[in-house]
Amino acid sequence: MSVHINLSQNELLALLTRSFEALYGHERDYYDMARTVLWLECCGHKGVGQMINAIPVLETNTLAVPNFSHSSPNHIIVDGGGHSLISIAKAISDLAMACAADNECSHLGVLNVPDSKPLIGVLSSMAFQGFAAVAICNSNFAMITPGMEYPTIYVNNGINTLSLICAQTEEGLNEHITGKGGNVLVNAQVQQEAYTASRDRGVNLKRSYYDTLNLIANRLLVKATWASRRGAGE
Amino acid sequence: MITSAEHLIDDSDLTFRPASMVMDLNRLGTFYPYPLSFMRNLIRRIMRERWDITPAIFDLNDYGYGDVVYEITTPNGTFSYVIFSKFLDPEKRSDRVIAEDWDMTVTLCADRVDQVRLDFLRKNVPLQEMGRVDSGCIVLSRANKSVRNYQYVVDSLARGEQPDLDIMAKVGYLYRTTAVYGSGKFGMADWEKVKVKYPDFASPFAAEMFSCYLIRHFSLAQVDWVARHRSPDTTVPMADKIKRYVGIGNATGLGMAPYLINHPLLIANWIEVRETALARILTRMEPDTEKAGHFECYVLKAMQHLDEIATENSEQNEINARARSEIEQCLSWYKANRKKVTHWPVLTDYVAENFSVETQELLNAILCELYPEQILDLETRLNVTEKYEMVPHMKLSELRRRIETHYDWALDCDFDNKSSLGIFWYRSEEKQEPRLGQRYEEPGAEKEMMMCIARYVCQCYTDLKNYTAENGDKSAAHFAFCHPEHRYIIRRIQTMSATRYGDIRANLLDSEVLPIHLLRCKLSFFGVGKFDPRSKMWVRNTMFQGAPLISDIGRTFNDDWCFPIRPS
Repeated sequence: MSVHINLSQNELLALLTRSFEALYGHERDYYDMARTVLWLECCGHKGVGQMINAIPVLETNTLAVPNFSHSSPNHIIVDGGGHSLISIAKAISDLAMACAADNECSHLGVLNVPDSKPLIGVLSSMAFQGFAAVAICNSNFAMITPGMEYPTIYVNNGINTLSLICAQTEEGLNEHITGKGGNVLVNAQVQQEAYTASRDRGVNLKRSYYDTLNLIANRLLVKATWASRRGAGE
Repeated sequence: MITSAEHLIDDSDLTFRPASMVMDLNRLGTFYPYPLSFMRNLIRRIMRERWDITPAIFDLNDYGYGDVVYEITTPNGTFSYVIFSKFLDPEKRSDRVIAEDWDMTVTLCADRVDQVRLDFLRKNVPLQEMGRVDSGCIVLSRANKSVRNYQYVVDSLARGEQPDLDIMAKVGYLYRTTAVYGSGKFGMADWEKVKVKYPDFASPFAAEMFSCYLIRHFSLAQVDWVARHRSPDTTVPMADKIKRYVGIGNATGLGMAPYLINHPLLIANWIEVRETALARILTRMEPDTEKAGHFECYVLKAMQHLDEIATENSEQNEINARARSEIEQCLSWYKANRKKVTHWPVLTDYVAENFSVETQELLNAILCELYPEQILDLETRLNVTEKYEMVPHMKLSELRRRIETHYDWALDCDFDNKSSLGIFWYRSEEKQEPRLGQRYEEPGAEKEMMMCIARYVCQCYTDLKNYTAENGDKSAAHFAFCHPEHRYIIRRIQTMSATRYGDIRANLLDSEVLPIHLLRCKLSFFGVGKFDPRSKMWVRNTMFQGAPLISDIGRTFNDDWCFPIRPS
């Protein structure tokens, strides 16, 4: 059996959605988590690999509830409570946009999370909503401007704090970035080509990942019985 | 900044029916096919563009088993429709999605098919859900013979006789599809790819409808073939007028219901297009002598169509009989009051006051048939890009206002009443088939699917009020961060409250809910008729009955094959 399996984007999205639903029930926005991972995967950022690595954390149900506090009107500190950004990055970007809408710009520092790259996965939807944003995560400095579909990812020139900075305009964003990124690591075109290729030819996924996700997703399935067949109209 | 979905259609002079009326599930469950139903759109396109559909391979044995490949040439490209037909043990023949073997399995794929590709498809297509295809495939489907009808037709043709129309009228097809997959299932091309790469199929379910149309075509070719090989000296081919009366059967179950709930923007758009078509006629058109004549013809045709529907379901028979009787009374009243009916709303108001919802919607479908020139431009408006983005800076007071104005129907549900939560929807381990369970009797409720929008709206509303009381009028983002369980429904409320029709209005967990209404609503948009409910959870129906044949392409075409009736 091949070590890879080719899935359509829609098929992968459905599998991811069911996996997150199996992990969280209806206690989280599992559709959007799945969309974030799909976007990362299709744009060449190994989204499924990031998710697989995060499974031990995603499976843990004893973590503290994430919380946030304002250190100034447009500066927020988010304590992730040990949760993976795969599950909370969208909520963090919501806060960033809401705060930027009121204050022109917002700066969120993110503490106490085990990963960083999923933050790149929320930039596209922020730009779709008309915001400019920068995600600073370890070695990467990813920037997107309103209307763009893909960020440009630079080498991070030494900013240590995991951050999401958001502004109503590109100019507003530039005013608030203290350290710009270095060389371009991945430009928008490369990500667009990766996305188009995955749309047209499918996504090649490690079969071991596929099997792992199915094992999780299949927790949602209910045993078939005579009564259950009656529930299908038999 | 995007804060809401825009109304998709600018028809500012029109008076639309309110969402509270249209989106009621009981009304949606009475919708009839109309000129913008997907099958109708597809057939118009095939006829207008004169698609060439030719067998490239027709390799069947005397019993009709083997491989067939039709090559389809459109203005934009070439496609192949690959059919694998085989003997099926009668004991394995089942309409249920959990079946594992079929009389015929098919795929629609891009480009021509060479031997290597055909071999690949032969290994996978007959396995259906258990196989893997690739992004060159657009649709995967299967169908089973309606054995009695199929054998009867072959026997008749082999004897040199045309099939008896009384018998044909009872079933109306030779094969019945039991699943039609697209949109990237099992490795196939994503809808996003189809939209961009294959403009011939870039409208909703066009490829899936086309697949059903070619199953119907093959079924007609196959009975001629088998009869001819059984009795070459006596056989006659089926007459074209009877062929046109043969459709393709379909069995649809609960699998269709989650689609309607998971794609609310798309469904609201289909509804808005339909309501726009109706509003244009009711607002702008006056019944002149010519249209009055057409109206009478369509009513008479609809009456005969309803008369000819054969189902063992007594409730459906009552519905059909009542609609037939009421539409006849409607016609009588119209003829007696012609001078009074200066505008169509005079008639629709009369019907609304005197007759059932079923008859009201039947009349609306008939009115749409009268004015194709007024509505066919809407055909291109059926696609919509589905985005359900959070509007994070929306104040909670605004979110609350939207719930109270657009989801008042949900707030009216009494979830303290046990029967309001009587059922749950879940995925079975058997092919992940969606099923209904009795919440207080069966296990599995903890794994239920997110089907009850009303319930989630109510829970969100309660927590929103409490949160606001404690924290003031914060943003939706603040609330969703503290209540991540509501983030999905907040996005949905924000998105759908900006549309004209919004969500389907029903508590899908209520013990008394009739899922069959969801099925019929979606099937009406497909263009499906002749509903034959087998329970409240699945329905048999007929597609493409009355539609032109492939041999009709290039000939004069009248787009009037609605309400199919037996040929004279």
